[in-house]
Amino acid sequence: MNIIESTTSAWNIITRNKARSFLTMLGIVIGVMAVIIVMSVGAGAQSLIINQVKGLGSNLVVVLPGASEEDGPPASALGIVITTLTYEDGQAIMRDACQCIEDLAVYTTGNDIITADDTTIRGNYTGTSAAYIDVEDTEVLTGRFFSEDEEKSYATVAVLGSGIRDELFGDEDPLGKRIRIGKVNFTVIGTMKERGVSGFQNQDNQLFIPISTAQKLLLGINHVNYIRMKVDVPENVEVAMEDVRQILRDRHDIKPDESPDFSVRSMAQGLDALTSITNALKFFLVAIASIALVVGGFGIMNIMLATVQERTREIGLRKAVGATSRQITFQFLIESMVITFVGGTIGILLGVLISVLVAVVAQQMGYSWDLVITTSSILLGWGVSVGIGLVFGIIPARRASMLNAIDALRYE
Amino acid sequence: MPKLIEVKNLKKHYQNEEVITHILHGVTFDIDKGEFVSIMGPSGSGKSTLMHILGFLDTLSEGSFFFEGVDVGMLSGDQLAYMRGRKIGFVFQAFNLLNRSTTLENVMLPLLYTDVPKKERIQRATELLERVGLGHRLNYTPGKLSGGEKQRVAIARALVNNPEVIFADEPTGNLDSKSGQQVMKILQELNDAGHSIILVTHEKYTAEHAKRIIRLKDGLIESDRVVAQRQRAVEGNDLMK
Repeated sequence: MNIIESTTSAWNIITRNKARSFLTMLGIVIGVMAVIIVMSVGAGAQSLIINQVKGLGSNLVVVLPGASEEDGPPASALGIVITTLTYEDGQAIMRDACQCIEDLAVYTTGNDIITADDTTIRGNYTGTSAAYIDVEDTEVLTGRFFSEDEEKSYATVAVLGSGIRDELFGDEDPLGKRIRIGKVNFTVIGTMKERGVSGFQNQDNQLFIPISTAQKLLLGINHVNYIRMKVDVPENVEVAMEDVRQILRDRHDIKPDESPDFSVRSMAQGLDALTSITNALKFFLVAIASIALVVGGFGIMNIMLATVQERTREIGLRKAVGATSRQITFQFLIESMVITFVGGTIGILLGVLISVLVAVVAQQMGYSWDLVITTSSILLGWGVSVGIGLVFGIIPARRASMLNAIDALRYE
Repeated sequence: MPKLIEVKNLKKHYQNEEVITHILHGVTFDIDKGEFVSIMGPSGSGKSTLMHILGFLDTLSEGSFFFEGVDVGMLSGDQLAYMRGRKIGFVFQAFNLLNRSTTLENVMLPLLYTDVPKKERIQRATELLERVGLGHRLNYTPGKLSGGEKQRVAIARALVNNPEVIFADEPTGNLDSKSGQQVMKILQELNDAGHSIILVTHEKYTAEHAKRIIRLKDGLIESDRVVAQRQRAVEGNDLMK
């Protein structure tokens, strides 16, 4: 009896009792489905997170105040305020660093009461440079962004994000209107195109004002929260970062053996860190989903043991007509593997279907969610399910093969 | 030319923990090719155990058993399975057919474990089913057959591997007398055609269809003699073509 015949014979035996066979394979169906969904949804969520970061531009270099390990969180993320990074640092970088830095913007952020006509809300504002629009690769929808002159001259002009515009003005055209941030009056000169969530910050729910205005008139500070710059091509990112480090060390008067009071990061590094974190999460989720597979495996072992009991006479007969113990083992192993293979196939189909649904729904909701179903996850699903059939089929198959033919023939 | 079966001082005992149960106390006999032998005896006489040993299903404890000159006591488990699959055919009292397989599949079963190609398996099984008068029932499952028909399927299955000898263990035990007659008639006709047959039964009348009767009692041969007045199974239909 060759493998094809054994498989067809196993298939016939399985299809004779469809309800039971289906219940037997249900554990594997659910397990494989869970693994496929988790792998696909995990990859989709990963793509969502990474697209968020990429949305900022992948040639981006960021300077954060405070020293930090290359991969660890910067000091500023831990709530420590470091005031050594300034507007002038940004200007110096633009002036002295390599020409590969195309645009540079400094940022400071605040939160205050914002009033327009009769609407008052609490909102976030970002004080930034005129180059913001180029660094962040975004556009104004109406009006204009503030100019470099306005950036330097404490101009009281504001550009509204699309969300805050709706909140403050509804359907009205806000251009030329006056708003109040804290105690300072501003003129609205533009509105931004809707951007959605990018860099984990809702860019639409804030308004943008010149950096000098934010520092001096609203916050009363001299430092900036961070600096972002756009490098022309990815190959120059390393050069630009090195230049920035050198310039800032000079300006901050840091001796060669001292650690700097700032850190320079590239988006690529950030992406790497994010990818490794999300990979770990994905792995963890797959590990949890795999528990279902193991449970399914025990279910199959249970049923196969019952089947061996039930088919004792058949096994005895097969031995009496010349089957060796090995052939009996083989037959039962093939049966459990066919069950798990079919279960795995159904699981893969359902898993793919649900993954597609999740991706379609997420995309409909406006997330940049990639549908990721890899061949490797499907092959893995098949491999694991057949492997489970093999592993959990061995004990029942061995038991069948060790039955004594005479006792088995007499078994009632 | 070696004898089909040579048994010398064969003993069998089972050990169950501390208790040793002696079943066969030393039996000696030969069977030639082409013989039709009944092994008779009351229950507990050891006839089933003897048949299991002769049929390579069980091993002996002492003595010797040669099959066509081969010392069966020296064979491994796989070699015994090989012998079962090629040298003998079994017919059981309880038929032992696979209820979910068709008659054709049932008859082909022993060939599954040989190298016979599928096409030839189907051909041989079909021919044999026709020979026992069931050519019109190839795709029936055993559940739809009468007892006599089931036993004829079992006989076809016993023949499919061209065995040297057919073992029939109470083949008429579960049948009415008419079906029993049919079965005995087929066995006699097979013997007439040259097949060796060993019949195990406790019924004198059935045993007398053979040419020779070995009577067992308490694990020993009580008598071993040729049947003087042999019963000839007569049944209306000529089942063997």
